[in-house]
Amino acid sequence: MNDAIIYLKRTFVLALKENIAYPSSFWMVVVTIPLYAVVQIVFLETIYGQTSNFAGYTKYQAYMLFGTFMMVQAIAHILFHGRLIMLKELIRGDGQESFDLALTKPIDAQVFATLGRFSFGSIVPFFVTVFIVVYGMAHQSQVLNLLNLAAYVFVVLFGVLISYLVLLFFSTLLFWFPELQMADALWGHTVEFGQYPSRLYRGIGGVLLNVAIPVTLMASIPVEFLLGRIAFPMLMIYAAITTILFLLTRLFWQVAIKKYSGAGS
Amino acid sequence: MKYLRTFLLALQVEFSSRINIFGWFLCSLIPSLLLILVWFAILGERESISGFTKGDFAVYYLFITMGWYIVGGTFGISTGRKIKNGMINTTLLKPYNVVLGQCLEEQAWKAISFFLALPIMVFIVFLLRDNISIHLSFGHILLLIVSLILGGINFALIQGLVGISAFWITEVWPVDHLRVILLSLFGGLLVPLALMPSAVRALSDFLPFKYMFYVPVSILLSKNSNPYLDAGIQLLYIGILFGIYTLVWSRGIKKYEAIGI
Repeated sequence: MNDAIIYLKRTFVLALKENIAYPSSFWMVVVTIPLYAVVQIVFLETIYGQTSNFAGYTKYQAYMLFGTFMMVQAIAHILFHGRLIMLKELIRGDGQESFDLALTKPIDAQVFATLGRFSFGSIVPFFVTVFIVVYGMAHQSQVLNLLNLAAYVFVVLFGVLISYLVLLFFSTLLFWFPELQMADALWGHTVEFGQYPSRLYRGIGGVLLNVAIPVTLMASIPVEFLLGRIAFPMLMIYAAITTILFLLTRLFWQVAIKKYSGAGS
Repeated sequence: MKYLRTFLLALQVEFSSRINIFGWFLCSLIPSLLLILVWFAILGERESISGFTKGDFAVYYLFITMGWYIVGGTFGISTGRKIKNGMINTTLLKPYNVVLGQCLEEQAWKAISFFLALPIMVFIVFLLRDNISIHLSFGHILLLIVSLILGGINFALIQGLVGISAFWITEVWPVDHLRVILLSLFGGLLVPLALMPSAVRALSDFLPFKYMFYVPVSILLSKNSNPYLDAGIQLLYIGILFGIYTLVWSRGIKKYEAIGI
């Protein structure tokens, strides 16, 4: 555990130095991600130009929804996305390091292979998303309740974990299909389901996206907590679902690494 | 002949990794299905929104999914990577255009993906058959094919420009990301332009992005009041973009330091 913390600390410092030495990637993220937010805002304006209520959300509530979704994505990019997408190179051994290294390091292979590359460029988009959420909230008639806000923060963190688990799941498939190119893109498109209201998904789709793989934890559920639409005991249920998914993904990872036969062999 | 060999070689490579073709198809289908779901929810009991019925929305987004295999692509990124890594060095001394080579190489996965995705798409259309109605004359079908080809050339020129931006910058993905943003907004990938705010619609008339996917799909849906004029503008943009591409390439190649030699 201590080794893992030391590893994360060192990689954090390394990423900081890298950003200072090569600032272009940082600035590119700073510029392009907020531009994407502009496109989505035009999309929201187009939707609400046609209707005043979309799946139970008014326009400004939809701003909160979109802001929260982008916030989860920004945190995902800051914390783990950059490292997890390198897993394919680790497994194929066509990068600077191979997965052999992960197995021989004195820290958990999952920590080494999936964490430790921080993208500071996403910090600015993170603050943009916070602004969008606050802007949406400012247009609500209800007063902000601190308990609701605390629940919102917790569920956002669950959402980040779900985002990590989904990307980990797709990336873990690389142990069976090393030629798989689009684990990252599949993650990107799967989490897209999370940016819309949970009520949009009904029937089997609803069970799948709200309970089994609750991608709606990335936006819809936290916003519903913030708006006081969901009772607090539900927080325990979402925590339980997230924990179960974490354990299942961990198990999947452990089975998968047994498939690894060595990049150099 | 050399470009045909490039294409055939790429075809063999693509056949050896079929899981990618299926995966990429899923990647392109998810956003379209999601947007169809969103517009169906907004439509609710209503017959149409700005002339778009449920069937129109379904055809619009499904056509963009399939149209991607004809018009779309991502070879700008691979071209940029080749320039960045100095891998174009060997081709510079040969009568071989590396950007055109990358473009043709990409047609392999697009062709395979198109034919593999077709049955799934037909099945989806079959499920939505009660909502869909398309009436096209032979002339309109011909015009649609021409418009798709012209849209594809426009798109390829933009991709080429994204790729050769690597002569100046180390990472082309942000430029490509910008291309995605502009295409989503002004090209109608996210929302039919007819539904967009008037400012976006007005601006899109002066940019090439709507002439890639939106013009062909509007011909398919019989929502284009002047398809011949739009096809002419597509041709005009090909000329303009080709001029810009040639200029940028000649400037870039002078600046190129040929890393790796």
